[in-house]
Amino acid sequence: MIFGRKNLLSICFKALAAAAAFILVFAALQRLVTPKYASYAIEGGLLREYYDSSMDHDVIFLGDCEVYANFSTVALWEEYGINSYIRGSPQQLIWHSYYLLEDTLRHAKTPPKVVVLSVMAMQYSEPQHEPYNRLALDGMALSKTKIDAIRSSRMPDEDILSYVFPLLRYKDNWRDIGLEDFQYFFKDPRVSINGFMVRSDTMPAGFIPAPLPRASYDFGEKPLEYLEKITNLCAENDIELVLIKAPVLYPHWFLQWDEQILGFAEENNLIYINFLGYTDVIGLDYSKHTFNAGNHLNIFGAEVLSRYFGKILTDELGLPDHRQNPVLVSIWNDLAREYYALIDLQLSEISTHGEILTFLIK
Amino acid sequence: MLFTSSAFLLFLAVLLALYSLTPQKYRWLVLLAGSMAFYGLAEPLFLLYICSTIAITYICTMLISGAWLRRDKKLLEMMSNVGDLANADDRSGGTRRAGITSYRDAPADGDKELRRQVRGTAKAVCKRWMLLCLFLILGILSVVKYTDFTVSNVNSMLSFFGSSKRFGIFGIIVPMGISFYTFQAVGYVVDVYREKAKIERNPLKLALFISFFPQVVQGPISRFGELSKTLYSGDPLTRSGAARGAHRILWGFFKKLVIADRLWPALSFLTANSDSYQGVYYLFTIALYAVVLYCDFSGGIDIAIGVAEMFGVRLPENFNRPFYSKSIQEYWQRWHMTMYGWFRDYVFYPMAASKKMLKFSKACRKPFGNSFAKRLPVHISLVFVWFLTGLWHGAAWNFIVWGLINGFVLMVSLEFAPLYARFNARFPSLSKNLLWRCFQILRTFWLMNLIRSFDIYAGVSNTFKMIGTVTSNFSLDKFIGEGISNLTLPISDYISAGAGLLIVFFVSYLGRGESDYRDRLLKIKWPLRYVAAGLVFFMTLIMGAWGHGFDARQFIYNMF
Repeated sequence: MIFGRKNLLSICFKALAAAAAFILVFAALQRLVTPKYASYAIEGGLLREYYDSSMDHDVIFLGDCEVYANFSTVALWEEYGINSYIRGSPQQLIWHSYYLLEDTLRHAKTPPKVVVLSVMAMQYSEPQHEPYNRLALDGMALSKTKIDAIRSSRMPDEDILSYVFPLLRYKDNWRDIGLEDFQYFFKDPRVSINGFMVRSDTMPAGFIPAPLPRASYDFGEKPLEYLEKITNLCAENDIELVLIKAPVLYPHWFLQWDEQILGFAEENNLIYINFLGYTDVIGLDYSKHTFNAGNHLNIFGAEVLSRYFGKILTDELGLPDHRQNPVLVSIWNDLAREYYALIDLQLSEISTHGEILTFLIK
Repeated sequence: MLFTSSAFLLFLAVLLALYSLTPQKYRWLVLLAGSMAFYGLAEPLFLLYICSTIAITYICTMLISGAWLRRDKKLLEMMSNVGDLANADDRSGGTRRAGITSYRDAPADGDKELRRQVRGTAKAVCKRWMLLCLFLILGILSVVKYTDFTVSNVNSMLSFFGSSKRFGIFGIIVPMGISFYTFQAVGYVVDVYREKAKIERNPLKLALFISFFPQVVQGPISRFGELSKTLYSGDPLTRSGAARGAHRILWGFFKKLVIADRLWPALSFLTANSDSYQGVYYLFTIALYAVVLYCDFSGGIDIAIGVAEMFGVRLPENFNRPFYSKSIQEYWQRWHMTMYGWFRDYVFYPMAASKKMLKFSKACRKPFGNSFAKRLPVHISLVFVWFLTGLWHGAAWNFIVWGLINGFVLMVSLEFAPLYARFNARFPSLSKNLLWRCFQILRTFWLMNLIRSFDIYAGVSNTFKMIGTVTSNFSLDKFIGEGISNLTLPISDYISAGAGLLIVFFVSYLGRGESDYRDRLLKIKWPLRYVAAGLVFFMTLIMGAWGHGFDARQFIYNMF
């Protein structure tokens, strides 16, 4: 017998004490070395904030920077009373978006009425870089959906365990532990307004590099499979799926891709809007409305685009105006206050220092 | 399957579960199956080599044992008062009837000449089988390990003599741990021949002895007489055994991952760019190599011993605080002890005490004098043993030179032994003087580092060149200016490895005078003990060179 009865109590106590200490130290170390995304790659903090939101949303945006940098959730609220949230992260792949939708449906009390999906990531058939996988998956709450998302996304050198216990992935960050790791030890910094990342600086679009020809313009099996899964999931939950291509000038969106998406949308009776074809109607001015030469819109461009898109959402999809709902009004007032405060701060930093220093929501 | 991989930990967990669930009588079979799986998973073809060695060893030792048994029976028959011969078994094993248990116990009233003849014949037969066995199993080792080395040397000779003929390199892949399991098999065959080891009649049990997975990769080199005491007993998994084993494994992980693998990139960079990093950097490199090699090798041995302990098997220790050695002789009694012991028992003593060597020594008395002629067999054997030791480490001239220098230094220190004795007699208090002891330790450390240079740099001439840079290009300004921060590692890595090294030295200090540092740890209060274990665990977890961004690096001694 491994344990003598006489000492069983003492052994149990020691084992429990050791286990509790172990878990505590492990958790503390994990928290300390896990990136806080406060001073670099702040996009890494976008997805985790969703769970802090105290309301359900009528519109959920899914995609990469085409959504989180280009649609202002506050503008949609203020102009049309649309209650929206952006679940986007850098280079978010189509299957990431699928699992985030599944996660949203699991988390929300009532499902969204509209899901807006950026189709830019349809070009990727395989995961591209481990760090992008991390930015998309680390922010998801642990669930079966997350495990499935990891399984479908992981690269050859990635393992599920390191997603469940991020310490195993970020352990080498001990070398760079700084003040912010302690500052945000108990609470992560906020980087977005309902998933929208605020950028108030301007860098006009100039030279746009010519697109490199590709061996094939056909979308891969995997993104098509997941696009179909998203379509089916939306249909099952009575959600209107809207496919969009944001009005940014590069990376290049090929005509062949556009035709394939158009074909898919027609086949499945979906709305597909390629905003690149409506830049004049929207009123976008790439000398003022972009913060990195046409790759992403800035706050002013995002507001213009959101006003345009909000009208479509209201007029064509009949989304209700919630501006009479006192609970939502109160929440959105707070969000708007933070939103404008950050814009003001960023604009003052630009005028004083020539660049933005603050990206976090105070 | 690397010891420090998650696959190995999973393998170990499954094997432990199977071991615990199997009845005690058959547990050794679980170990055998696990050992074969472990070896086969590395490369299925490797199984062919190890199974050949096992088969040859088994057949030959059975034949040796059979010859000894026949001799015993014959001798017993010759005794006038021999009882029932049916109870006669081999000399070292089996149950015998009370009373006469061997021919040696019987009254010596037989024909002495005839008995000598019987003994001589049996010995000759056994020797033939032993030599055949050694020829075959060492032949396998030589073919796979030294063929390409021989071919490249023949090609160099041909080139030297102006011939354009070249032989192709075979590119034979050396099976994992072949030097270790071959030596273990050789030890067993010789012990059976010398009637020092009990014959193992079960081929599967012998297979387990040769292939036992924790030690097959890089030792320690066990003796059958010692290992068989615990290897087949199938002792149940105990709490203390599991805890002690797990602790030892953790300690091995710590040394390997926090120190050896963490510092490896800098060492690798320094040796690859030896043209730019000379003089003082050379001294830094050889000291770094000492640390990396020790932590890598002893870490692997710690894991092997810990894993074996979990199964209730005791493996011999291979290190005994080698960096505290005060002389090179002492160093070799503390570093890679099982290899040193193997060469001592199976090569050095038989050679130094052989009739031919004694005859040679006698012949040398006249030209060299009585005293030196007496020491000559020792010196010749010493150099030969160290030549073999170098060759065993690798099929390359730098290893051979490394071995020969070791032999030479040991020979010189033996020659100077009387001088040391006189010095110690003149200054008796020095041996107790801490400063003097520190000097002796540092002297041995740097002397060994210097010799180990041949293990580090590619090529013998390059090594000599690097040693020469200590006087020709010391590069102190460069070292002061650049330091060690540009050797691919951030300073934080040196700090973490340095902290790890301090812990290793502290634990080493704790283990002084005790066979095992864990015995001392067990004496302290449990919360402190748990904190110590926790510190080592979390340091390995956080500061270990593993996971994302690191390539799992094989143990250095796996290559031997």
